[in-house]
Amino acid sequence: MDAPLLRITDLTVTFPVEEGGAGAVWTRPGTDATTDAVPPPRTRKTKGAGQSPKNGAAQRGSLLNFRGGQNGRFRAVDALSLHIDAGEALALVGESGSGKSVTALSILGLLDAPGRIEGGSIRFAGQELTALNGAGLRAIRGNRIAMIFQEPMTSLNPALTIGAQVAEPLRLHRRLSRREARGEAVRLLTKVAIPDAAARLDDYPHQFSGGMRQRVMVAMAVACNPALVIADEPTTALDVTVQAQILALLKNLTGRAGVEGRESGEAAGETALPAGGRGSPVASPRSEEPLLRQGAQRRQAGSKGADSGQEGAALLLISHDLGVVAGCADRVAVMYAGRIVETAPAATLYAAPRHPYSQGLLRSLPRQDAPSGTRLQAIAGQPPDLAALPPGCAFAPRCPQAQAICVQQRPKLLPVGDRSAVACHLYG
Amino acid sequence: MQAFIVRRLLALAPTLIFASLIVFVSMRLIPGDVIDLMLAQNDVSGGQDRAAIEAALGLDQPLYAQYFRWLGAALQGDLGRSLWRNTPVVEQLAETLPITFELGLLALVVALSVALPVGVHSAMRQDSLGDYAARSFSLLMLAMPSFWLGTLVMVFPSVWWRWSPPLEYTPFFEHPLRNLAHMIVPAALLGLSLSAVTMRMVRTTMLEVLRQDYIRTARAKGLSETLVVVRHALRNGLIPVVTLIGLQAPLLIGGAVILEQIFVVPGMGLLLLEAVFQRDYPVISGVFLVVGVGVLLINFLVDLSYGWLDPKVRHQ
Repeated sequence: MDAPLLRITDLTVTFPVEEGGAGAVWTRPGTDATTDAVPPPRTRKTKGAGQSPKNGAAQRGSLLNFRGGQNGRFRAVDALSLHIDAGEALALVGESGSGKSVTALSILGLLDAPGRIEGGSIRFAGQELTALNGAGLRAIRGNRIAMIFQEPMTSLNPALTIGAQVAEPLRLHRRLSRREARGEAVRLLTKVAIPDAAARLDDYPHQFSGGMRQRVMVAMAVACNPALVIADEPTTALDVTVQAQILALLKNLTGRAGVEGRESGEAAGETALPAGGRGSPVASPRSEEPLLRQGAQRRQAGSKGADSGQEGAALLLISHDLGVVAGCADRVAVMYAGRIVETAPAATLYAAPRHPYSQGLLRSLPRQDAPSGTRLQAIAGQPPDLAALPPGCAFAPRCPQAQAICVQQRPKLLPVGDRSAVACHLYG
Repeated sequence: MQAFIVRRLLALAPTLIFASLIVFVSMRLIPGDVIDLMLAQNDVSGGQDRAAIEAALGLDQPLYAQYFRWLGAALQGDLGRSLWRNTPVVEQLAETLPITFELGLLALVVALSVALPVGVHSAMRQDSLGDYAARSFSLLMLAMPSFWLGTLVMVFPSVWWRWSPPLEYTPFFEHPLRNLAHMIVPAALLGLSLSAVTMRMVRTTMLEVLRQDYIRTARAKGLSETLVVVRHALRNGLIPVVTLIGLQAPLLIGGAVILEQIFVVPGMGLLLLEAVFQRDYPVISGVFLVVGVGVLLINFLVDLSYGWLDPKVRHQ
């Protein structure tokens, strides 16, 4: 079997524990005004606050020996391993603060300064990304690996025209002339279903709605035909009908190497989108079948519409919502407290979740077939304080099936069945 | 847009009239009027002389009448004549304004060419050695008044190296280099004091802008840090900086008055200083009218620049 497009091995990322922050809830880097650090992520190892004067090796050793909270730093991502095959759509699912976004930012070396990659490897198409210098990373960013962010309202530069921003990666990586890039930008915006794209090229972001801006972000991301598109909560800030459109668009444009996608579907227009609201992103465990089929239909439309050069672009879709990813992902990896607790093909995970946390997540989704008035089943308790994790399984305090071993020993992520793995003593 | 400009220009009128009234009245309140000075210098005395001079200069009329006469003439482009030299004030202003304008422009160029790169660098390398050095320097420049610095620059080089800045004014179009050699020292002093505040503002706004989501987007596109700053950050960070420069325009003019005196630049500042010493009311009023128009125009340009810097303003 070929090496996967992207393989992350034992990735560990730490952040300083905020002083006086009881609970030390990790917040998204960049939004936290108290984070007093701005130097750009030009080097991956930046001096962080709260660093002890020990030398690096000793510190790394102590961090590996002890769990979070040592040396004033906690692990936002803890020895995480995952892989994405070419053309595959992997969904990374978990609560806020479980380390999904940190993982994504680490891949591109975009981690903000107090965050630090402490160890592990990120291999992309034969290249070790953690070893690349600034220029090497820049050649990959926006070119081979593109990223779409959560907040379309703030992710576009308010002072630059849409056309200039979409054309930018083309000018940079493809060395297109101004004119060529402009033409290409029109083509890209048309592909993401911006009506009258040529006329809107000179408009500014504030003249676009949130959904339109996220389409522009998608157009920007696929501009250079990347091998991997990372979408970090691309629909969270959008309303439900627009969510479905953006997800369809993502699938449409990244194309798919999977079997379903290769099969010929009905003829579909280049920019065919499912009618708004048709694919309700709120899945229920019982109704995952139609959702999955719908996803397959979108893929078929997508493989028709997407350029041949774009087929095989892989997708790393990050979401806190299992319902959102249901129609899009080939495989799902569930994260909890900085680790992957379960990974399985999407159909398997929705039909028979193994880890009690995955089960809890699925149970907490609203179900269409449940009698009205039924209360949602929330997972009891709070997400753990990453700076003070229990020695055993991080989920054990909230787990309805916890045993004695769960609070003593941390379960390893072990393969169970076809392309699945779970980190739980129930399956040890 | 045209309507906007016309409206803004019309709104300037009441401000200017009010400002001229304040200047007109306050100058009369300073003890020792122009007649006393004239009499003292000409060594004549006697009530008759005094009344005659007052009548000749039109100072015997009530203050409000003097003001309205001045205002009426000013509206027709006549700012009166100097009480001492008897030359038209407009002529004197036309001579001195370009010189002060040149000084101010040079100072602005110096201020921006220091403040922008240093401020941006400070923001990109927050808490680095360079950042601390830049911030300390700006504090120092804030703490040292430019007249004191100007005196130091005049005195110490001549003591140490027997060199002092040239003090002979040459019109720019006569000999540009010699003109610049003279003007650059006061312009640099003025510009450095302006750059101190501006640099801190650049640093603060750039720190804010560099945290924005769209900066991360720009980095995710693969742009180099230089391009991220120049293309994506600077323009968004410039709006408060431009505002600050507009607000500092009066300080710039005030500083020019003092530095022109120290470096013997025959500009409007020197004209004003002499006029104040001699209680030359028409000249003082004329200079302040020009300064007022200047400050208002600068802030008008600042407002216009928002439209260029911020597309949201443009589309309102």
